[in-house]
Amino acid sequence: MSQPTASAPKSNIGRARFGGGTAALVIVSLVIGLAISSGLGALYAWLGETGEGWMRFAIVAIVTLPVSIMLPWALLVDRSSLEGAVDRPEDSVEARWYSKAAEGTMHDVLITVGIGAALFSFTQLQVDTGMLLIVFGTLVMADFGVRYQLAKRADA
Amino acid sequence: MRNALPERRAELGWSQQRLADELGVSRQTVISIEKGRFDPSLPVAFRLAAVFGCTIEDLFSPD
Repeated sequence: MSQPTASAPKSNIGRARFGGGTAALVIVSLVIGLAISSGLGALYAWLGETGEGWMRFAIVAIVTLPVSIMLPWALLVDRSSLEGAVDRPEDSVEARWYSKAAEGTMHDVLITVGIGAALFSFTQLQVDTGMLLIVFGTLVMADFGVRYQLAKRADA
Repeated sequence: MRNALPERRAELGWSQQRLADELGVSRQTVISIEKGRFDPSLPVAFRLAAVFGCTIEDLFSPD
């Protein structure tokens, strides 16, 4: 009968998979995140036609910073050093909830895009593409969240 | 699918978290399997059998 093996201490932030500790992971994630956000901010300022350039840079850089920091962290963290992270997430029930929610959401997207395309074609309706994608993306995420919670409630 | 997980686990005096750690899955997974609401994958079923020192048929039976 197997016994739990002693392992290195775990934390909510974890350690770097390239061998460094928590501090190295945090510093590298911050540096990469700042570089990504600065790049996006500079791109937005360069492409923009209205408003102050530095203001456009600052807003986009600040808004994207959290995601820009989390992205390298997610890629560089050693999962085995994370508190609460299981060894085989693909075998856990949460993976099934995710799959069920993703499957349902994909069907909703197919139906919505189909009906929307027909509606826009028949009515010749013109809308701002950026706003349409923001609204549609938000609805897709909300749809996925609701479906995940429903799958969780059904199995829990 | 019926299963004998709660009884087997009780025999060892293990908590659901302990069994989940042994299997490398979440505690919620063990809860859902024991309630019969989640059929484990074949690899998990084999690991369960290994952990309890029995066969898969000893642990699971069709409704």
